Amino acid sequence: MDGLSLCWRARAAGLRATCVPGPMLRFPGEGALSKKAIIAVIVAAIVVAGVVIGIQQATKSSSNDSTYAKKFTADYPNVEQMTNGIPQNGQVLGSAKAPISIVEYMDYKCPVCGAASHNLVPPLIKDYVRTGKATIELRPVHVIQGNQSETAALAGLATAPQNRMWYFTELILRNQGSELDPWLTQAVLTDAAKTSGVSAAEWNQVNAGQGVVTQFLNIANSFASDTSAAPRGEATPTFVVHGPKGTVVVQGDVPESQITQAMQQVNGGKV
Amino acid sequence: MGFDRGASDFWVRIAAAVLAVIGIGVTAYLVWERYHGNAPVCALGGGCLTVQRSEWSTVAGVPVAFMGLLAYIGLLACALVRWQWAALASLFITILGVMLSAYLTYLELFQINAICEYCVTSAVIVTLLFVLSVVRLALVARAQTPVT
Repeated sequence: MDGLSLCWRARAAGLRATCVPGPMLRFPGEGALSKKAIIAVIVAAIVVAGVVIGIQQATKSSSNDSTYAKKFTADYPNVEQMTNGIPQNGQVLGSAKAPISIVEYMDYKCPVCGAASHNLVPPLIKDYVRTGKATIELRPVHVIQGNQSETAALAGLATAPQNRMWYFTELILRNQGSELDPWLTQAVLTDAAKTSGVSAAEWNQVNAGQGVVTQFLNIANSFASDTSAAPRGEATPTFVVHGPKGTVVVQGDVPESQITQAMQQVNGGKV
Repeated sequence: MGFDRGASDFWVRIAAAVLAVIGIGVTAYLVWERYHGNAPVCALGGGCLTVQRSEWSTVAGVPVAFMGLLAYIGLLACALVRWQWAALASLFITILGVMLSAYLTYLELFQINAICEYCVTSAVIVTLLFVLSVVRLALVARAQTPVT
């Protein structure tokens, strides 16, 4: 029994005593605290921390980034089939002679944009862009919380000078992770660029320059003005349909017929 | 069983136990929300969910919050017993905790670009526990110094 227990017993027995907690206990045979033991504990803790960080780094990179690389490679033939043979000029897909132009404001992490890339964009390209009736221009904006959408927008704009923006963008939109997750890392952007056939050196140079930043800010301004009267405000995707007779704004992953209707409106009833 | 004379580590252990219980509360909440697929209530924006769902939130499939919970339970156990080995174990766990917390804070600031207030709270708690572990060991060492 140690001194503290004795003290408490004494107090319980009605004696006046100030119970100051007692001394450190040691196991039978355990020696006094040595410097060696303390140093061994410190070294062991540092080694274990290093091992934990190493395991985390190893498992993190293989679990996330390679998954998207595989998805992009598997989906590339579908994207190529959708756009193959159609003129690409920077952000614009389609013939410059087309009477109608469609601007698509999109966010790389917006799930509705991802849905539109599956449901709406392929038939639009097939029916109106491939046939020379309309062009579609990609304008990436930053709507989803966090900074990954902005980084992706700059990276996407940097693929435009090589006429690979449509490949890059569709690969990402069609293979999105959750908008709440930070899945759109620099490694994933690089994988998308590589799969799209972008020259990495040129892409990196453009991506690091001020030009894409200026372009991105201009797009943000035009997005604000184009959606100022739109019912959903600055929402993505927003399709702005321009024609000889005016402009119509359509928002969301809508049926193709709504875009067709808008095209008829801006082109005097014809498509 | 041997006795050592000298200053007591009683209040140091009480303080450590209180901090460990707070740490258990914080990490248990994060583990609970994670396993129920909920977003932690985050007063400073949505950083907690971003961090919780980031690729750095697990080590070999084990959630970091769960590892933190186990560490705080271990620290509580160390605080409740007066054995010499418990003081050493407490030092081991807190050094590990401080290093991993520093690494995770770096990731939050420069990789994930989001701050989770629960993670910051835990980092502060484990740093205080580290200081208490050092104080406790110093008291043990002083208690074992022979009287001249």
